[in-house]
Order: sequence, then structure tokens, then C-alpha cells
Amino acid sequence: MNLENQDNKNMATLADKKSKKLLIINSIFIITWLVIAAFPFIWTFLGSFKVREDFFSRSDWWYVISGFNTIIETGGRYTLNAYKEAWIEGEFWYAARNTVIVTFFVVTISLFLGTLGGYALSRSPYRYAFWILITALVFRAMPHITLVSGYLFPFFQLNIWGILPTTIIVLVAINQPFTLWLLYSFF
Amino acid sequence: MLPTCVAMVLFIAIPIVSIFVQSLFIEHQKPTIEIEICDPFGCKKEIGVDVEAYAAMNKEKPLGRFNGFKTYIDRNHLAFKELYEGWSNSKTFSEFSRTFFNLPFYKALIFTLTYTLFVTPFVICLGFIIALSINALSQKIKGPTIFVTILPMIVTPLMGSLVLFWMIDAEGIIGSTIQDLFNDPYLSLKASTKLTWITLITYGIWHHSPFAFIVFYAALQTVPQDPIEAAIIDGADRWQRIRHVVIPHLYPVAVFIALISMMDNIRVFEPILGFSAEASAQSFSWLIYNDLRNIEVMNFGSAASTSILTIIMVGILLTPVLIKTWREFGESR
Repeated sequence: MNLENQDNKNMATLADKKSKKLLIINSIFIITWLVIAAFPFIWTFLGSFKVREDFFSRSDWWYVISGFNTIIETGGRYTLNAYKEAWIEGEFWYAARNTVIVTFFVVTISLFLGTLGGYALSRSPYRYAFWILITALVFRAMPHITLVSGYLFPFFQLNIWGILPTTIIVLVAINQPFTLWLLYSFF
Repeated sequence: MLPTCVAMVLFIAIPIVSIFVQSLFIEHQKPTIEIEICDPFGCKKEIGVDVEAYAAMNKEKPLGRFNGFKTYIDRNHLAFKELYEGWSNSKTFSEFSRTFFNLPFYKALIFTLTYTLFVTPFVICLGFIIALSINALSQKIKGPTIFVTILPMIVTPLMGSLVLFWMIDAEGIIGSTIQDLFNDPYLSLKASTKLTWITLITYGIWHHSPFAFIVFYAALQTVPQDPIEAAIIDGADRWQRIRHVVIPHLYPVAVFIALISMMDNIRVFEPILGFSAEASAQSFSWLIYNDLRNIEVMNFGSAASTSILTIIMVGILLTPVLIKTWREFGESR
């Protein structure tokens, strides 16, 4: 029995062995895709160490790598000027701090509520659980921005707009349908 | 379950009711007042806005005055009157279509639909092919490959589109290469409507394919091995195995991806900002944003009616897929 199984497996792997042509086509496809996917980011990363004239150079795109104008302006091939500007003048740290706070709280609260809700819905024997899930799906379909004018007006009246807690609560609520659907299928 | 429901009712259901109510109202007519302006050469009477009275009116009725469904049919929304006039005044169909495309709502409708209908199928196909090829790779290089593959998705849409926007700039690498290729120093991807649409759709495919890839890749791991081995013994080649064993198994997953990616594509917004393409490509989301972005004069009524119309549009578009999900889901319970 065991031997037979082994035989079968060998046969399967033998037939499954890719032909050389397929392997080449596959590799070419994957490499093309990886270049398409990653090139913009690599390019921007390289460009971020150069001065503006190199990143947007009319004369020669190779300047982004060779840093022709960067050498003239700063003396070195790489410069951290753009980063300095972003951190100090652009107040990047401030935006980064807010993003971290919002992300942390939204993920924690969403998961907490979503787990409770998903578990309850998947174990509930009642018919209304089905309706709640369908409603959640419909809510998921709506563009978020359609709700914005619904939020803005009451928030202006209550004067609670433009502060972090409001952002967090709204984001949690908007993410709730999707969280619910994903977690529902886990239980 | 209760907290989830409360959150959804409070922050999704109630805002929908709220935008519906808002959409019935319109800002107050500005009360006018006659002001006498005197200079050394005599006095002139001018008509100006009575700012104080206007503020008082806004305070008393912050929603504005009741307008009924008139906002829905004005020029910026359904524009029935303009459509009717355009239809009766134009002799040829192309003349009518020009009127049609000049109305903001229909312009946005056409762009949003084109974007969704092009991006969704391409995303599904490309995601499936990538998942198949990566699945065939050796274990060692799978990890890094997957990481690079999902890069376009994990980077926020605004950043991704900005990065590409810099590259297609006439002085960026792609933009100048295309100019060289076609030997036309004035060719710009931003100038013509058609090219902008193609750029946005290409961006959409680039951005969304990784999502389809992830879901397909996860599903590929659950394809049962027995039927595949049986197919091999029956002499099926690779293509036949994919066609008759793998694709039927992944069909429900493909429906799920279609549903989610249609939902995401209809709300296309960030790429339009990122590519500064609002002149030639406007989506529903952009229309709403446009009504609200000026903090001094927010057109709540107009934005709210666009929102309601968008919700109805989304409902119509997704009904077939929703009904399908409903049936499958109802059976499984």
C-alpha cells in the first residue's frame, strides 16, 4: 500500500514537472511584473536623495542615478536635504504621530468590537443575524465620501470636528462592516 | 454584537438619513440691502449682501431653506431640463452627446463606469495569472516575490498615484521616454482626456491587482490535490488542469473579488487628486469633495444629493452580485 502510494506520487511529480518553455515564460512574466510593481518605488527612493533638478531632469533621466546637479549644488552624490525639509519644515513628525495614534486606536477598537460582533453573528440561530450581515455588505459598498457630508454638518453643529477622537470613532464605524465580514467567516 | 450594531447604526445609517434630509435643503438666499456709499463727488446707492441678517438666518435655520427634490434635478445633478433642451435642440446624435458630456453628473457617471468596467476584469485576470505563476515558484524565492508584488497595494493610494504622477510628468522618466518614443516633445499624458483616462485606468489595475493576487493565492493553497492528480493520470496537460479543476474551484473566490473590487473602484477618488486629473476625469466621489472642499461656502445640499444619487447608483450596479451572495449565503445558513 505504502509502496503503491510512493509510486503514484513519483508519477505525479514526474508528470507535474514543468517543461522548460513554461518555466522560461513564467520567469519572464514574474520578472516583468516585479519590475512594474517595484520600479516606481525604487525610482522615487533613489530620487529622494537628489536635488529637484535631478529628479525632474529634462536633459537626461540618468541624472537621478548619477546625481549630476546634486554634485554641483551640494558637493556629494547623495543629499539628505529633501528629508530634512520634510521633517523640519513639512512637520512630518506631527503627521506621523497623528497617524500612529489613529492607526493604533482604530485597529484595537475595530478588532475588539468586530470579534464580539462576528462571534455573536456566526453563532446566532436567529434570522436577523443574516439581515445584519447583508446590511453590513451594503454599507461596505458605499463610497466613504458619501457619508462625509452626513458627518460634517452635525459635527459642525456640535463643534467636535477636526479632532482625533472623532476621526477614530468615525474610522472604526466605517471599517466595521468589513471587519465583521472577515471575522464572521473565522468562527 | 450590540456594540457593532450600535456603531454601524450611529455612524452609517444615521448619516445616510442625515444626508437625505440635507439634500432636501438649499442655502438661504442672501438677503440684500441698499447701502449708500458717499464720496466727495456725491452719493451712490448700491445693493449689497446684508451680512448680519444672513448670519441670523443661518443661525435660526442652519440647514437652509427647504427645496424639496429640486436640487436633484438642477444642472449639477440629474439635469432633466438641460437634457430635454439638448435633445430637442440638437440635430445629430453627436451634438446631443456633447451636451450630455458637459453636464457634471453624467460626466462623472461615464468616467466612474468606464473605470470600474475596465479595471475590475483586468484586476481579476492579472491577479489570477500572478497567483498561478508565483505558486509555481520554488519555496525560497516565494517570500520576497510576494512582498514586492503587494507593494502597490500596501502603499496608500494617494502616495502610489503621486509617485506615478511624478514619473509620467514631462520631465519624469516615463513621460520623457514616451516623448522620445513618439518623437513628439509636446506629448503629455496629462493634456488629453483620453490619455488621462488610460493613465488612471492603468494605475487602477496596477494598484488593485495585488489584492486579487492575495485572495487567489490563498485560495490556490486550498485546491484539493486528489482531482489534480487524477487529471494528471488521465493525461490532462497543465492548461486543461487549470481550466477544468482549478478555475471551477476558485469560482466563488472570483465572485468575491469582483464584488469587493467593484465596490472599491466605484469610489475612485485618490488617483484623481494624485494625478491632478480633475479637469478631464471626475468621479462621483470627486463631485462630493468638490462641493465640500471650500470651508467657507460648503454646498451641503448639493453634496448630499450627489451622495444619495451615488448610493442609488452603487445599489443598482451591485444588485446582481448582491443577490447572488444573498442566495449562496442564505443556503449555507
